[in-house]
Amino acid sequence: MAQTSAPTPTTAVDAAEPEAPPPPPTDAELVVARYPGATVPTWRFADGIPTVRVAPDQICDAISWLRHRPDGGRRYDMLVDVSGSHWPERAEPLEVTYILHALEDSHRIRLKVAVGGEHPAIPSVTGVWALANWPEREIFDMYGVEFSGHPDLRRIITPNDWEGHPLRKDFPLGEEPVEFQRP
Amino acid sequence: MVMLEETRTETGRMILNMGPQHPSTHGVLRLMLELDGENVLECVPDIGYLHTGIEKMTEARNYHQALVLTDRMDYLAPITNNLSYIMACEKLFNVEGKVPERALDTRVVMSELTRIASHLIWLGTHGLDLGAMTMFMYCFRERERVLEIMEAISGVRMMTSFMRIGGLAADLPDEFYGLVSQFVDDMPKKIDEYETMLSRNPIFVDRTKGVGVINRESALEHGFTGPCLRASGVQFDVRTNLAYCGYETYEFDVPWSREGDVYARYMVRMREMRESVRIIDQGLKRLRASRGAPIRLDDPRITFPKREKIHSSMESLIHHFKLVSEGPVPTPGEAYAAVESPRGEQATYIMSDGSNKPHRVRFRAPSFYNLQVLPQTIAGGLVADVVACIGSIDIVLGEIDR
Repeated sequence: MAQTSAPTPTTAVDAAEPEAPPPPPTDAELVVARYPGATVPTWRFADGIPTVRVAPDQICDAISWLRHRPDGGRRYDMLVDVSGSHWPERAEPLEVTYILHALEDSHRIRLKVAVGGEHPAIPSVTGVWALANWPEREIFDMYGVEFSGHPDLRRIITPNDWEGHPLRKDFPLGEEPVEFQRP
Repeated sequence: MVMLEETRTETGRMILNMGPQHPSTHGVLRLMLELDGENVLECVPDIGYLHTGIEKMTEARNYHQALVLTDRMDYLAPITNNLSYIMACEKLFNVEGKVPERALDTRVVMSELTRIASHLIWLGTHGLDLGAMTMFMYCFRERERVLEIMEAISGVRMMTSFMRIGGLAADLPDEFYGLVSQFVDDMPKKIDEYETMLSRNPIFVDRTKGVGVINRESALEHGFTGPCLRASGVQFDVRTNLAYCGYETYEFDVPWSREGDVYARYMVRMREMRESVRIIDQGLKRLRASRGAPIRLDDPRITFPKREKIHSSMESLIHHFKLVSEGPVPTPGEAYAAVESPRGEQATYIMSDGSNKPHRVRFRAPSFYNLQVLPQTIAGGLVADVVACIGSIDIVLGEIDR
């Protein structure tokens, strides 16, 4: 957002301290301003990647906006990772995280979506970015999050007849009975 | 997983199952190919045969214990897996930037050694797939020397688990310097040797040039990273773009190419090996100069105290006991750390709830995303090209299925 003219106060009689222009809003702030309901989580992100939490029905639009940037801002060219996590004690226990990367200055941003309920569902971003196909299948497989609009939502890692979603916290770690006994 | 009832569709097209027990799928990858004569109309990869539940298992181990599981994912480049996991832990424990210089230099040298070893396996098997059988013998000969260096460092040839949160498990042995410097001297000549066998070999060139082309847009759309992405004209390398472990202080080039075919991926990796040798050479000089410097952070919350101190100091004994029985405990939060593995961006994403075990550990496996591009590279090609395409993407199923 290059400003063509920068009118600074030339009549510097009473201008005690030339005020520094406010820093341009970061992409995270722009996303928060653009999407009602988007928030910056009060959670510790030790890696310093700016993080925004958006509502499930806005995720496709937010990712598409960040990718194409019709406002001429920094474009995020790579969707680096889509991953899931399960927090049983939260109101919306299933969380999906998207990490985007901008090639021009190697800046990254992270978007989070959380869902809960009996049949958790999030719109699929495969329409925006084809690479979300497999990771979304993996999250479906491991966490049971439905991705509406996904072209091929099948289990990917576990067999088709597998029951349950292994990475959910209520799924037991599993042990096999051992045939030997301690002497 | 899909079961096929008919091998021949009503249009007379044939469905061919390739794998999961097929030598050129480099592991237990299964491909379902729909063929019209020799032409591949569609390719559907089927993965999951090597799923070991590593992400689930890490949730039941403390931060030190989970390290050994990371070796087992990408078993051809265990060091880079270790490194991304350890870096994520260091971010989580707020000790990033406090790791001693010597430890960082050792990490860089070991990462590059493992990159060469991994690329040698790729080159050997890729050559084997395309009919150049001698390559396999040559590459494994040099890879053996890398494994010898790993063995000298850690006592283990492959699953080293040598990194620790805040530094390294031990200092480098004396024979390390000689072994590595000899390797650095020999390797460029060996790479020349490989190149004379393949780079202008008409059979190899015919089977790789113009085959499996992926352009820049498609590579970004479908998720290539690493050498495959760079072969498609995107200059993205985690080592330079998001430098870690002091890579920004090393002098090296990031090879790339515009063509995006199997041959371009081959050329990028070959040049990458030469750059790795350059980095190792610089790192070795630094390691020679820093002999005797600390190799591990001294933080009783995270790193183990020295053996002598356990016998003489009560506090050290307590810290040792706490670390062994409970393990280090971070403050709640999350951390994502990426490294450039031989296959692309390998990352570990740890979420902690403030207990002694990680709440969630996500491993971003580069092969998982790279394999997703395979149907695009194959579509419209010939059956014989399938083998060339799989080889050029350089997948490791252990990392894809985790």
